Amino acid sequence: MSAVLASGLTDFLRDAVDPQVQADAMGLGAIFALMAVGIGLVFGVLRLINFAYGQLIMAGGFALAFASERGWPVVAGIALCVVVVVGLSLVMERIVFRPLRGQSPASMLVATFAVAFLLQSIALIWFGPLGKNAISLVELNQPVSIGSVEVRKISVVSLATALVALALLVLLLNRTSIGLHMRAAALDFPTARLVGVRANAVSAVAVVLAGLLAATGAVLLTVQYPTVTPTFALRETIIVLAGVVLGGMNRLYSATLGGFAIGYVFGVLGGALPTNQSQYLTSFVFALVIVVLLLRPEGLFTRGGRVVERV
Amino acid sequence: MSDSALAVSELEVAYGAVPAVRGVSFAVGEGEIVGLIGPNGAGKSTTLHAIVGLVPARGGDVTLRGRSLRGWSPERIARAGVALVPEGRRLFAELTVEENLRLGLAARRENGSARDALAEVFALFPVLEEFRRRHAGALSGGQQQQLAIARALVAKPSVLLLDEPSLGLAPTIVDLVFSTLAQIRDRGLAILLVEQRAQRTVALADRTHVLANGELRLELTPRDAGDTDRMIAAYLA
Amino acid sequence: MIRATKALLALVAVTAVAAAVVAAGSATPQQGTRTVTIGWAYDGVGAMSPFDGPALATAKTRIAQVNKGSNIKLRLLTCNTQNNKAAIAKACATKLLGQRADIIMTTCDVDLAAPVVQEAINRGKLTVAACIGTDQMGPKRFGAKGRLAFSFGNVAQDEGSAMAEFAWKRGWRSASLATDTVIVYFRNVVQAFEARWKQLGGRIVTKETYQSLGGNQASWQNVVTRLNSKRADVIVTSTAAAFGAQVPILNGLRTLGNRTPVLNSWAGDGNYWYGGASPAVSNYYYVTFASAFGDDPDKRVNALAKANRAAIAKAGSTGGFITGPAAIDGIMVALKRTGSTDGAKLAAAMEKFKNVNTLSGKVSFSPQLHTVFGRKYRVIRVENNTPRVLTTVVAKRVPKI
Repeated sequence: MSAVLASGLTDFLRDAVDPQVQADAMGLGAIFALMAVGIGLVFGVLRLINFAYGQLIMAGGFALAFASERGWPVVAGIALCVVVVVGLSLVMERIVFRPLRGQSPASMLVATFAVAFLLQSIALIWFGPLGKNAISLVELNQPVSIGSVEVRKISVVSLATALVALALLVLLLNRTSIGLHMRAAALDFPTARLVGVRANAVSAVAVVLAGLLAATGAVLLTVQYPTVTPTFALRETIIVLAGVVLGGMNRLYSATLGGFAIGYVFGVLGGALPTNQSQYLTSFVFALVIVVLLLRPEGLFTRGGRVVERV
Repeated sequence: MSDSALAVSELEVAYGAVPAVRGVSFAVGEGEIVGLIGPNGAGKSTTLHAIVGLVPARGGDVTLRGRSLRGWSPERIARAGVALVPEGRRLFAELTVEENLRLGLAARRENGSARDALAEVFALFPVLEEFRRRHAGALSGGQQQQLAIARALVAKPSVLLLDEPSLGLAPTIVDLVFSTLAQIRDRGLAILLVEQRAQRTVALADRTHVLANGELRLELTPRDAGDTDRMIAAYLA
Repeated sequence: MIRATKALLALVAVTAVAAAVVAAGSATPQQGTRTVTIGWAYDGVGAMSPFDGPALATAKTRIAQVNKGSNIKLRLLTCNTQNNKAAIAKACATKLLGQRADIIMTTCDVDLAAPVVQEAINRGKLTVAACIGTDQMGPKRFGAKGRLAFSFGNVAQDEGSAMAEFAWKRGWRSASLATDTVIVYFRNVVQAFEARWKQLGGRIVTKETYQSLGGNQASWQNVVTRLNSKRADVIVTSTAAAFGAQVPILNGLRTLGNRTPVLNSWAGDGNYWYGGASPAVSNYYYVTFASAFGDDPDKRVNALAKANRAAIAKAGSTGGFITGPAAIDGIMVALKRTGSTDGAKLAAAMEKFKNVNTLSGKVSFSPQLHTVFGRKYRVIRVENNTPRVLTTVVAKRVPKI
């Protein structure tokens, strides 16, 4: 019995450290990290969890499919994706988020859920349940040699994109005045307004940034998963949300780390476990999330033992 | 009266069904310190919050040089030149001193350089320059109060409101704060000072109103600062 | 006087009874035309619309064809369940029954069709689905009254067996299995393949599993890696591209340079997903009801496909469109054999179907099995994104799974 377990464990470990699996896991973690930043930004500034975030990515995916099916050049497709996602984000901000500013968290939760279902239903009617194909950057599925190992290009590109995007974001937040305003709004919105920070402006900028990240996520995800259906990125959003809460919702860095971590763990376990066991993976990980939150509700990557504070 | 920097007329504020401020009228002119004192729960903070748009006014008006501020958002009022130093300072503890000050620049109406604006407040409060890269939360109470006032001043407001700045401060710091206020007044700012320390406020301000139960009761001048009986009577009336 | 009244009353009663008998006897065969009404509760917008839509459209064409020169005229009433929302489905059933539908047709998923099926069999009507793919459409799920329910879809076990027989005929002897666990039908197809494959003497190289809809994408790549690590003559799976895993897995294999033939069930039909395949789809095989691409062995099928090209293309060009006409054909046979629209009689006749000719091949039912077995599948092969009918295959034996 223990021999079986031991051999199973060695098989798993051997597969887990395979460079391809590691690269894929980090690539997945990178995409999840980008999504986590998008969710965390909006939460930090607007104090709102956007459950419709996955639908933004879905809309981006359909935009990419639209361009791809008409043979548009890749750049045009990505541009359309960005325009659609950012546009949709701003519409959501104006029509749903802004009127809800200051309302109870329950209202905001219900509202974003409603938006999520609405967008899914619209997509189902417009595009049908069979989905559309988005193949703009499909050559990134090819492997590239790094040193002596072969990894898929998309894994490297995802990781690089995430690092660049995060670096830019850090620069924006720390070196620009709008970034300063956003950080202040995330810390204490009313006082920020008192000193002259424009609530609507920081709201819009946060939403636009989150939209840009969602568009990036759409481009990266469609490389490996070119079938865009109304439920595209739905499952990923739920997992990223779990990761964000697990990492610590209140700070951007902990939310991002949580997103990366859960993506990486899913990637390693899914890529290394025997396939007939990896089906239970999702349930297992979510059970683990519950346990962690019971033990450390403020999140894994936060400092100290304080629970969420609101000024 | 209507040309005063800040004029409050017949202001009414209520929290739900409970009236907090009833028919309050006063004005603050340029180069003036007007004090507002009163017992706890009198409605002093509420008055300030209504002026800066944090709570809506149910009745009456607030005008800035004749222009009504009613219904404006807090950031719009701040950008119009009304700065509040809130009760408890409400600093951004996780941001540095310099970042807190730069935030204050958000409401700036003049175009001058940020560095000059910072230089001015550093001149008023040298300790802030010394600590400019420290997190605001690491400062002592007195230093935080100076930062809060400085943050309000970098925007070069025409009206400065302060909500109990001396709360929890050592007497020497209170001296510093009050003397700084006098300095600022002499530069032409209109200052409304809400305080618990009745005596010192009455001594400093050009005029001091007493607010009790949401209504203005009495107006005191520096001459009344030594008259303890009059002060007690004002509070208990 | 009283005796006369009694006699008069008796005469009236007898006349009334006679009249009733005559009225009821309108169900007995007569010369001259008779109209039979079919009420179809279909999904026009949601997940089932790719199946219901073409089946319905082509059925209408078929009805026009069979009505010519037939004593029995079929009249079709429809009601859109709008993504099979339970309340709307039930309302559709009530409406169609209220409009005096003699026979009720339902959507192509047994769970989603259940509200309509329940209403219809409660009223004693023959209830037919064009393409429910499990053996649950019948007494197995709906109890005694379920004897009135039938489906002209494939039973997964029949499909999987036929796939095994095709693979064997092709000369393949070793197979790797990749089971998509997301729905029962997918799992049953691969199980049936495995059982029949072993009966035929074939070897199973490896068995992998994955979950398409809502599953972990990292595990799909894992499946690709594992499938690629062991040589097999054919890789067998049952999954649908719209569920998200089919294209990544196929792409993954081909990108690694793995050219092993991939064999899918009817779920892998359609050309709507070729656009996402990179490289182009090749060495890909699947079994289906009929070819939507104009090269079906049966000319009438090609004519029907042509006549309903738009509806079929909109639904992704799968062969499921033929199930509508097949159901119509089957219903007509039952009507002719019983001369009645009585649900129980029609059901009894259908249960006795042995090799009944329909546009989708020969159809057989049994008291235990109310879904088609023994269907003649078309095997379609896709090379360079071009689908073509390769051959046909019938499952000779359907193993128990």
